[in-house]
Amino acid sequence: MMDGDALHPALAVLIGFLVLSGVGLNVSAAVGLHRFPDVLTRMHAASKPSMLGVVCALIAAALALGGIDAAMKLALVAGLQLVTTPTGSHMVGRAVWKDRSEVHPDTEVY
Amino acid sequence: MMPSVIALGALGLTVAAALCILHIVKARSFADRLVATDLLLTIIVTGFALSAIATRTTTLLPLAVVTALIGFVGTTTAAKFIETRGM
Repeated sequence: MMDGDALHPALAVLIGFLVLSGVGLNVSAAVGLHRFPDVLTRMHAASKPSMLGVVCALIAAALALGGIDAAMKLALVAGLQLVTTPTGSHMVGRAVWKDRSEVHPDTEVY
Repeated sequence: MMPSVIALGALGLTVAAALCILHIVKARSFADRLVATDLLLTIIVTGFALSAIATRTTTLLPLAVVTALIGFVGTTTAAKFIETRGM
């Protein structure tokens, strides 16, 4: 932790860019939740951008806090998200695919 | 510059969380609700990262770890429940 001293301007710009792109990706995921027709496409819209968005925000936090202890904790959160979000989405997708009544007729699954 | 970026980010996350909650209310099936809840928990983790940037302290980071873990356990358990019992 840097105890309140000012960040380097270039670092502040980088942090701002990462925060805003992370938040923007999360907002796009939430909008996709409303715009897509069925559970499988909504899951596609929700899980991928939100994962990239949360990792962007966590990298920004690691740069802003600037210590190895904070960076390790944030790396743990990022690793956990990167492993668990695909696993959870895969399980939801398999559960939905078993009972296909919810799948929109235009949805193509490869 | 930094406070306005944090404020804009907080506003965006609020909008995203509100959209998620609206979808949880409006969803037709349990799996739909599950996807929205998973996204809501991811947004909460992003909010913890944002608050760590705003306050420049590491106090809330363990909460982010716990929230990520709860999201995983909850989603997989509920998905297993849907698989065995149907939607």
